[in-house]
Order: sequence, then structure tokens, then C-alpha cells
Amino acid sequence: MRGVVDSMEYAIEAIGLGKVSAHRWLIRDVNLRISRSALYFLVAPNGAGKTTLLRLLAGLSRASSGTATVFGRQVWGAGPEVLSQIGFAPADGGYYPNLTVDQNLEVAAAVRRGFDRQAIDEAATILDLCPLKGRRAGTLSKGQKKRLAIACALVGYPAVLLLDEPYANLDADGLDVVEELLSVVCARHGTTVVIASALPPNDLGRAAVVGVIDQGRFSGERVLAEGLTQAEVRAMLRELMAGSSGGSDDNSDQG
Amino acid sequence: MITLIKVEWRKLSHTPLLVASVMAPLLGSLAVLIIPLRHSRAIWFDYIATNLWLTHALLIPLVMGLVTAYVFGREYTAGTAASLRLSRFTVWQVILAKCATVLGIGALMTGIAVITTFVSAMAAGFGGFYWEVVLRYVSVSLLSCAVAACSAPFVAIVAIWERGAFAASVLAATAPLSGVLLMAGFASRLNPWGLPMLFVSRFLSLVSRDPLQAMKPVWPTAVVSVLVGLMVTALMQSRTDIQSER
Repeated sequence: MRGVVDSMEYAIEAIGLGKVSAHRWLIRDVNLRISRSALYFLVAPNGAGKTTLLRLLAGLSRASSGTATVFGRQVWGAGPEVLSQIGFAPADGGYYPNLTVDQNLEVAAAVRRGFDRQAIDEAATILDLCPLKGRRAGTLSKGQKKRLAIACALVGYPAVLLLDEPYANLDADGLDVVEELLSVVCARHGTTVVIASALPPNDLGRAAVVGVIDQGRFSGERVLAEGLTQAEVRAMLRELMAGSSGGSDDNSDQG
Repeated sequence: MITLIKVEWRKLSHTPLLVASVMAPLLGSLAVLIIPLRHSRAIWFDYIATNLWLTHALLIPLVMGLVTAYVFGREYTAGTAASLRLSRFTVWQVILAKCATVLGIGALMTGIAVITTFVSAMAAGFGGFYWEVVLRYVSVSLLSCAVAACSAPFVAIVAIWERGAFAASVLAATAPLSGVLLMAGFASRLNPWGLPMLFVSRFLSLVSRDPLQAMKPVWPTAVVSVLVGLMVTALMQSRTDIQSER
């Protein structure tokens, strides 16, 4: 798989991707290409379908139309050689409440790459979980749980990291931790990171691409230069949303 | 595979089910001690027979079912099913590791029940002690545990279908009672949950007290249940969306 990873220009590709549930298109005709080692923000209002898209890209959900590939290999129904390259942190959960933080990371490492103390310690350090290692996950605060879920997805540095609402419930320090994580995994380890969030990213420390989903349809994407402020990002997103508003009339189509 | 089994055991730590798995056979074996104690000339075999009916054919399958519901369903409720799908292990390895864990829990409970029975029968001073009786009891109880594990894939199917543990737990808690219905002639021998009861009753009714002879009416249903159940479980585990869409 490492050979495949090295040879592909795009880490993630979605062609005509759609998902129907209860006779309704949750997302439709999504075409997406995410380069290797890119930082990609998938911004959409609540209920627009970003979690659905993320799950389709991770191979956790079967597409009703189109295909999703990771390093050129279709993800739905793929074997461990493809799927183990993907790390996924869900919006809720993603850890065992009865286990301690350290045990959760050990379990995550064991099923992903094999037990690796160094990888566990690195993930704990990056997400600032070292002081909490002995605490039961169920007793942590929401923000700490969120950081644990991200750490479990990060253990062993997967080639693709998909984070669903990673900023939810985080305090200012937590946001800094996640920002630091992004710079570490993207720049140092070449990980492709996709972040689905209802809110635009904070002041960017590095260049990124932002894609907008509106009512289940992909509205477009823009490259965000390094150092843009949140206000500038918001203005750009509004522009993207406005540009797509004419094309979203048929979102209530029955599947 | 061994790694996965170790991980499954670790996931069970600090859960009420692990405590229940230790306490249920212990208390079950001690509770049935009361029945032979009421007779003035109680013997080992009476105690073992009562224990086989209640602890091994009813209580242990019930707890094994609940553990099955938990180990499969909990992945969905905790949001960790994704990490298993995105692991370095195949679906078959994941399922077999979970089933091996359930079987391991069953073996642990059987071991506790056997030791409790042995110690309490010695302490109560029952007559009719023969090593052969004890050895047959051990072999029958282990076979009963293996037979009980045959219904585990069906509980797993319900947990995966539901993406949770509730419906599977209800099934696991009520289905072993079908063994009682089977004895009363109201259930089919093809019902995998009735198999431990069928096996134990067959063993106790045989003059030869031969466990392998007692397995004869049981094993075809047991083997078919395991094979069909595991195949359907693997199919569902690999083809079902991790989380239901809105």
C-alpha cells in the first residue's frame, strides 16, 4: 500500500458521490479531489451532509451513487490494506468510556498498527493528554473526550485523517492543540487531513483548501493562503455560498 | 488475532458484565446447593444434575448472550465501530476474536461453576463421590458452554442490525428460556438457544451417561447455527453502514 500511496497525486477522490436515505438525497453529485498532504476544510451548516460525506470518504457508508477512492482505491468494501490508511474521529464518541485514556490509546494502536508505545506517547503529547492518562475516558470533560477521540484516530499517523467537528466543545487551549496537531501531521508526516466543521477555520497557520457544502450539494472550493484571518475566511465562504445558491433549488429531490 | 482477543478482553475490563460473569456461576452453583441439601441422603449426582440444569444450561448461556450483545453492540453505541472497520484486521478476524472472547467468558464461568460445585459439595459432605462423576460433569459443562456459544452469532446479527446492544440484550436474556419451552415440547430442536438444555437433558436421561452420545441430537443444529450465523454476521458487518443515516 505504501507504494500506492507514494505514486498517487490525489489522496482522496470523489466522483458523483451521493447518498440516499429514506428516499431523500443527503448529499448529491459531489466531485472532490484532495491532494496528498493537503489540509482540507469541509465547511457546511448543520444538517448539510458533511458527516455523511466524511463517512463515505472513509468507507464507513455505502454510496448510493458515484465512487470514493483513497489513493486510487475504492474505499467501500476495501480490505485492511486500504482502510488501515485512514484515521477517523467521529463527532461523538470514538473511545471506550470504561477504559483509561492510556488504555484507549493502547487499544487504538493495537488495532491500527500494532502496539507501539512511542506512537501512543506521541499522540498523547500532541493532543495534550499526558496529564489525563490514568483517568477513565467516561469521566473526562467533553473537550477532553474530543481530544481523546482525535488522538485515537491519529495513533500511528494514518495517511489520511478525517476529523468530524474536531473544534466542538474545545476551549481556547484545545483549539491551539488541534491547530498544532494539524501543522505536525500535515507538514511533518505528510498526512492528508480533512476536517468537517460547521464553522470556518480559525486564523490559519498554513495554507489550506476549503470546500463548501450547501444542502447536500458541493458548492465549490477555494485555496486559503497562509495567514488569513477568520473574518477573511468567512467573507470568502459567504461568497462561495452565494455563488452556489442558484444551483441548490432541486435539493429536495426524492431519491 | 491474539492481539484482537487481548484487546477484546481489555475492553471488557471495568464493565459490570465481567463482574456478572464471575458472580453468576458462583452464586448460581451455591443457590442450587439448597435443593439437594433438603434431602437427608443427598448425593453428588443430585447436586450436579441440578447444577447442570440451572447453572450450565440456563444461567451461563444467558450471561454469554448478554456478553455477546455487549461486545458487538457497544462498538456502535461508543462510536468505535469505525476504528474497527479502519483497522489492520479483516472483518472475519474481528468477528472471530469477539466470538472467541465470548467463548472464553463462557469457559471462565464454567470453570468457576465447576470449582464452586466441587468445593461446596465436599463441604456439604454429599455421598456418592466418584472421580468419574466429577470428570463427566466437567466434560458435560464444557460441552454445554460450547453449545451455548453456537447461538452467539445470531445475537451479534441483531446487535449489528440495530447498531446497538439493547435489542440483542433482550434477545440474549429471553432466548435461553426457550430451552425450558423445548423441554415442555413447545419449541423446535432447531432453535439454537434450546441446545444447552436439550444436551443436558439428554445426558441426564442416558443410562450410559456418555457426553458424546448426548451430543448426537445437538451437534447438527449447533454446527449449522455457527456456520450460517458467522457468515451472516460477517456479511452484515462488512456491508452495513457504520451509522444509520438521517
